[in-house]
Amino acid sequence: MDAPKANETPAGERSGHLLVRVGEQICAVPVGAVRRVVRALTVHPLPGARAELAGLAEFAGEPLPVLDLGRLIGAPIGPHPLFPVTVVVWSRTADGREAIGLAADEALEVVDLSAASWLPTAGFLVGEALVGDQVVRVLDPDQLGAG
Amino acid sequence: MIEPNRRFPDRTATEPRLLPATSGAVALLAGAAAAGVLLLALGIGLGSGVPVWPLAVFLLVAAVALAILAGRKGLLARGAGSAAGAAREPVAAEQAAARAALRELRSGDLVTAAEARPHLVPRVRSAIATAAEGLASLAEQLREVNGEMASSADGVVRMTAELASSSSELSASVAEITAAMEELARTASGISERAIAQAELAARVERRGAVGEEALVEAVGGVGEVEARIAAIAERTDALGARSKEIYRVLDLIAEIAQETHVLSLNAAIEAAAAGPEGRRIAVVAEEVRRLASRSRDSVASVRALLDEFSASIRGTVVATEEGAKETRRVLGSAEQAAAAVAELRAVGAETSARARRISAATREQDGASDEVVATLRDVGYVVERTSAALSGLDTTQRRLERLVLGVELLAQGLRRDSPTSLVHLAEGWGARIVGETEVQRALDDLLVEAPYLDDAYMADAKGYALFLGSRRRPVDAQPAAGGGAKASPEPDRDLSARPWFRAVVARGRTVLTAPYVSVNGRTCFTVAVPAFGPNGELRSVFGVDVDVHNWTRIGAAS
Amino acid sequence: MVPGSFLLFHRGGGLWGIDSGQVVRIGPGRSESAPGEAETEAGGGTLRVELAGGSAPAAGPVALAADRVEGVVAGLAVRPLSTALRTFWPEAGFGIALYSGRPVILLDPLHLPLPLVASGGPDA
Repeated sequence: MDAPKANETPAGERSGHLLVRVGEQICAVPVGAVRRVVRALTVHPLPGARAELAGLAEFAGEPLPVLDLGRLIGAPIGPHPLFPVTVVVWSRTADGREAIGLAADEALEVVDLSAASWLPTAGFLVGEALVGDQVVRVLDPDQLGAG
Repeated sequence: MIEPNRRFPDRTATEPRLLPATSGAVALLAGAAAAGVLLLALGIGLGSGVPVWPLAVFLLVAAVALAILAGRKGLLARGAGSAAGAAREPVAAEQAAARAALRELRSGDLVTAAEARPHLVPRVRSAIATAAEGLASLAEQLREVNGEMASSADGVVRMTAELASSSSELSASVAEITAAMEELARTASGISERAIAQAELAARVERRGAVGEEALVEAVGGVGEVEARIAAIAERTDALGARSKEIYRVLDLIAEIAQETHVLSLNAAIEAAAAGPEGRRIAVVAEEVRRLASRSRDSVASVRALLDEFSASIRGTVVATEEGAKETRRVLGSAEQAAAAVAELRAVGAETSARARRISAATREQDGASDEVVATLRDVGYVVERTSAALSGLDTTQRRLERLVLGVELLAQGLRRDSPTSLVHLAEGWGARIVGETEVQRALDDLLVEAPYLDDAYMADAKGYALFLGSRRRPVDAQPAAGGGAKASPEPDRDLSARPWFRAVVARGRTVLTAPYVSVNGRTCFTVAVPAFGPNGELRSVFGVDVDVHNWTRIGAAS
Repeated sequence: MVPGSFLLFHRGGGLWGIDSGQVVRIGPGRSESAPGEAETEAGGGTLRVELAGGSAPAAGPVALAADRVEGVVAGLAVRPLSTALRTFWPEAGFGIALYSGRPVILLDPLHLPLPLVASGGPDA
């Protein structure tokens, strides 16, 4: 079972982030929030749901809502992914945490990102960082529940 | 030259010159001599070319005359003895008459000799008449025989001419044919050569065709082999394609495993991060695993790229082999067509070869045949040459014959006979007629029309100047005035005084018949010239005609 | 109070559940659509799941459109709808469960999602 982890990173410190690609965009998810990366799960769409909700999947014996990361961040659709993944993240709520799945095209690697490069923005996109010459968008899964 | 001594128109008899001899012995001797000469003449007549008939007949006449004379002398002796004195006047007249008759006979004037003379005893008269008739008949027979000879000679001439022309034509033909045969032989040998060359060519073609056919069969076989190989290649490429599909599946599997491994490494890294400092070692391992997975992914990508290339090339190969198979089938089709063409060519070549051989054989045959022909022609050529040589010999004989004919004719013409075939008789008749004419020129021209065997006719004065001239060939100038005039005319030559016949007429005072000569226009002729005398016996004019021998002998012989 | 058994049915690609006690009748729907096809248009459905009551009892009985009925299932482990789910699926429902590895949203009869309501009144 997974134990709650500390997600918050003091400013200036580098912390591990999982880089995932969606379309041509790369997102960074703090490793502390990542529960597991798995091959893309079977998603059952929910009629009447918002476009960002890809549907419902099953993970670890529990139903898992899966969000379309591309739609979430507004990334244009890229080439057909060879090995799409579902990044299962913990999202902290008022009464605990809940698992959310993020459907991405590719899981890249775990890198350390410096906090100084974050741009504070509203919503779950909390900033942008530079990895090499690639701009990555940093996610805060705790904000996902807020929409 | 025969010179019948006869003056015209006076018939004054002159004293005959009696031959001195005893009657019987002379007669016998003369007869024997005559017979001997006759025999001699017969023996060498045809060969010598010199007419001896005149001599023989003359001697015969002389013999007869002597016989008669001897008989007459006997008669005279007897008559003189029995009726001497009292019958002397009538006997002298009789003698004179007999002498005159004999003289005429001797001179060849049978017409005058046979005329009735009042003082001749019947026996003598009949004897003379018989002699004259006999001579005339002899002459006539001679002329007939001569005429036959002449026509035979004509025939010979014609035949000779024909033969000569035929033989010359034949010679020419032989030469032509020989040339043609030689040409033919050359052509034939040329054809033969070409035929042989063609046969050789055809044989080469045949061989080449055989070679070509073999080559084609080989090629066709080769093509079949190629087709089989292409099919094998196609099979293998299919197999390769199937294997590559398998490989793609395996690659996909490996790629998936690599992906899973990759994700696994990420998860490990994530756990390691959560583990804090103790998670460092896990993080390292996780990183190794990630790299491994990444290398696997790259390898898979490379292999897949290679496989794609391989598949593309295989597809290319398949396409190429299919194309190749098509091409091979096309080539095979062409090869089969070519094989058929070669077979046809061989057949044609064989036919050509056979035909060429036939031609060659035929030309060889022809060669032989033409050789034979040429040999035969050569024989003919020899024959023609010999014939030509014989003909030229015959030609010589022909000329001798012609001369003989002419000679006999002239001999016969030496006797004046009351016959249209006696030129002397005719000439004397014409002369008598024309002298009395007023238009002499026209008379001469009419005469030429009347007697086509005459070339020229003229009337000359006593000096030999041709007062009137009639010529068949040459246009005659305007007539000069009668009596002669020294008018200069370019032609013809009117001064005939130098002519032999004119001189003979002047000398002998008788009708003259010349020997044959060649005239200015190359024709053989003779001249009959008849003198005319005045009342005192002086020569007043000479009438003459040129007789064309050829024309006369044929026409004269025919009548 | 969580119902003990639910009627599970498919509609529009999703698997739904309703308190089986609320189901009055299951009958044929207004349109014939192939099973499995996601029919989200209002009113369609091969079947009608007629319920006893609706959100407005004065309105009379309510029916749900269904593509295929799974069956009546008991003993489902019901969990509350997650925040994220509620954020991105605003319709009401009082729980979510798994049935044979497949998520099921359990419907609140008082707050039925409109897309799932069958059109028209009950058949005669």
